[in-house]
Amino acid sequence: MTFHKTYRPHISEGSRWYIVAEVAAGLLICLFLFTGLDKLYNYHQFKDALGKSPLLVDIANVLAWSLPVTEIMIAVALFIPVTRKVGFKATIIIMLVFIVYLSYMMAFAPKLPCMCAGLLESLSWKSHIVFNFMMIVLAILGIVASGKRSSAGSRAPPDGRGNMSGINRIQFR
Amino acid sequence: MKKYLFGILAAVVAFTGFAFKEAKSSKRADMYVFEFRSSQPYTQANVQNPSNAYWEYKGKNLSGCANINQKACRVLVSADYVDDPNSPTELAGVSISATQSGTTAHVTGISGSGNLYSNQAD
Repeated sequence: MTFHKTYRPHISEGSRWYIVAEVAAGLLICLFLFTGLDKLYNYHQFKDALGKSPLLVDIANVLAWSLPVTEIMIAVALFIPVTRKVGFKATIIIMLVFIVYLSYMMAFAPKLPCMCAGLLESLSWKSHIVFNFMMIVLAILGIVASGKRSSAGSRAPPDGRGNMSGINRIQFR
Repeated sequence: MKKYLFGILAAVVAFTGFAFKEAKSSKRADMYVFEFRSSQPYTQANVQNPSNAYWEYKGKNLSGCANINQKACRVLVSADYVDDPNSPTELAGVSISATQSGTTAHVTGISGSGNLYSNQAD
C-alpha cells in the first residue's frame, strides 16, 4: 500500500496579517492613484465642477490641484512600507472629510453631479458615502494588520538567512 | 523587492485603468458648454436668445448644473452647433425654448440631436 503525503500550504498568522495589510494597501493605492491622476488630467473639468459646489466655490482653485496631489501622496505613503501606517491614517482622515462634504451635498444640493473619477462618477451621493465607509474599514483593517503582522513577526524565529519578511514565512508541511 | 510587489501591482492596475478610461473618453464626441451670463436678467426672451451676449462659452466636456428648474444655467452642444469648433465663442443654429416662472426663466428644450441643457436653483 502506498501512502501519498499531501502538502497543504500552511500560512502563519504573521503572513496572514501581512497579506491583509498588503491587499488593503494595494486596493487603496489603486483607488488614490486612479482618482488623483484622473483629477489632474481633467483639471479644468474638475475645477469647474468644484466651482459649481456652493461649499467649495471660494477654494475651488486651490482644491483643484491640492486634492489630487494629496491623493497621490497618500498612494505613495501606502506604497512605501515604512510610511504605510501614516498612509492608512491619512486615508481615514480624507475619507471622513469626504463623508462630511458628501453629507452636506446630500442635504443641500443633491442634484449636483459628482466630479469623482471612474466608476465613482456613476454612484449616487448615498452610495458614495457607503463606499467611503468601506474604504475607512479597509484602512482600519490595514492598520490592525500592520500592527498584528509586526507583533506576530517578532515572535517568529528567523529563517536560515535571518529573514523575517512575512512572505518568506509561508511554510509548506 | 517582494515587499513592493502588491504596491507595484496596484500602481500598474491604476495606470492601466486610467489609460483605458481616457482612451474610451477620447473617442467620445466633445460637448461644448455654454453658460447663461449671470449678469443678464433671466427673462424668457434673454434665455431663448442664443447670442454671445447671453450665452458664454465655458469649455469642453464640463459637467451640467444642479438641474433644478428655476433659472437657466448651461447648455451642452455638439460641434455642429457652435460658430467655430476650434475656437468657439457663440452658439450657432440652435434654438432654445424657455419658460418664465416668477422673476426667472429656465430652459425647457434645445434643438439638435444629443444637445443637452441643465438649469439651476434661483
